[in-house]
Amino acid sequence: MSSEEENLSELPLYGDILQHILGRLPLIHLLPALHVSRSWSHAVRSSLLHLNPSKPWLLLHHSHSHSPLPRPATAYDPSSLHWLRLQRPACPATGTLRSSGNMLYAISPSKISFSVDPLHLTWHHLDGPLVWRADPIVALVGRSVVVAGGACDFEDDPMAVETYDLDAGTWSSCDSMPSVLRDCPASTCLSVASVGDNMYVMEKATGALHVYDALKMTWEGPVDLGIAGEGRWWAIGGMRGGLVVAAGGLVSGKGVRVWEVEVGTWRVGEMGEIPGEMAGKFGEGGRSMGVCCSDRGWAYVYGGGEGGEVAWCELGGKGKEGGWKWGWVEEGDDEVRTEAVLTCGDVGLEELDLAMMMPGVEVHLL
Amino acid sequence: MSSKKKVITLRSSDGEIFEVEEAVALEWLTIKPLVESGCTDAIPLPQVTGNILAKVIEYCKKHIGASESEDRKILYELESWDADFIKVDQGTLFDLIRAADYLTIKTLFEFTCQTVADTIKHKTIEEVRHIFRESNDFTPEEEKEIRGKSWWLQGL
Repeated sequence: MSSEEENLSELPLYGDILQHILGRLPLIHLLPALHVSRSWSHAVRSSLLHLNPSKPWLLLHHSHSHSPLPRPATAYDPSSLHWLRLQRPACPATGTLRSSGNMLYAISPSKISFSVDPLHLTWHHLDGPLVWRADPIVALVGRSVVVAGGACDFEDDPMAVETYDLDAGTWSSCDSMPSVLRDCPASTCLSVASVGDNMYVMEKATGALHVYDALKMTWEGPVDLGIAGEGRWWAIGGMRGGLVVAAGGLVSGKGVRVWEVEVGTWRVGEMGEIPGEMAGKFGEGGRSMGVCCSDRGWAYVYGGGEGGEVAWCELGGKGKEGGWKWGWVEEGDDEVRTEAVLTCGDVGLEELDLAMMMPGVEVHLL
Repeated sequence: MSSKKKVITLRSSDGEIFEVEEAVALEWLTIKPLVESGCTDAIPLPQVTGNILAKVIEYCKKHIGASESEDRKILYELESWDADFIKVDQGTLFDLIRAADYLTIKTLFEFTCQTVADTIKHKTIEEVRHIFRESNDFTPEEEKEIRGKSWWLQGL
């Protein structure tokens, strides 16, 4: 072989070929590649843009009420089908960890702590509301944190609503929740989604939908979506300015039916049905479900009971005509799912890269 | 004569002549139109050297028909054959990728890309630079940003 040819074989890989190679790596393995050189950094970004776009992660958080030690969260990356362990600094919140959509929060008599970033690394703390609450529904609606119901027995109004204006830094009392919710005005019975300036509240047992307008501070509903008879337990999520509604315990069938709902017009479009392969899937035991969504046309639907299954749903294309796909989240560690609170996070390269620069943050493939 | 399988002649960049069955050449999308047109001259492949072309032909001959097999034994055997096949130095591996890309041979391209992708996993930035002969062209300011966090400098 001539020396010229020898040099030829030592040519580095670049361009399309490099993108193809990088397109085969899970996000976590792309981080070093991002910092190799400018051309590699470009190839990583192009490959994510054109060949292997990242998909919203499922995050499983564990409550920390009995232990000050941070428990790592577990994450599922659906584009590489990998489970990851996410070690974070100790969560500064006190109280049981709960989720509302993709907001993670904990409430104690003196404060409310919440986190809305994709990996939940940053926490915000508010002085507690006037009414002492054990299990309210909480949502970040626009620039307000809405806290409704769940008040402790000794409080006068168990359905009191208060909102915290993040800009003004003040709490205000608002109209109480509608009286039809009096049986159980708490997060155990209500599924919540935040879209635009509204908080949408769905009764988990009936599918009845109520709307709270955070600007006018008024309630509306129940809204008749015309699907109330289809299931026996319900959950709601917010996606792309609309709602995703899921019903389990179907009157016909054993799976979960999922709809997209346009807010305001209340036009309901069925996304499809996730068949339950066995009765136990999707909360037959726990009789509850949850939904968490990403505006990138992605939703996770999960059973509320221990060991409940999680399914992902993807809206194809950008339009609603694009159809949908679904699949099961492959099971990870059993222990992981127990007592976990679930959120969906748009974890892209930038988010992961920035997260890694934070002290105390580690991510490992499981 | 008619019962004999049709053979295609190929010429590598360094003038070596190879003969492959038409069925194999038809998998190479870049030259497929030429093969289908009934061209009888040697097809010149100015971007592939003889030693690499020999490897490419060896891979494609082994894989033709076998990749689609549903027989587990055949697939298992193929997998271990692939593992031996790809035990080559890095220059050869990169050349194989470039040849598979140039000739548009999907199976070989995917296999070789995956092999390289696997070598990147668990490597530090410096190791990747060394393997791929990339030089660091970030400014010191950009570099500093990376130094702040060091877990991947030591590997996962």
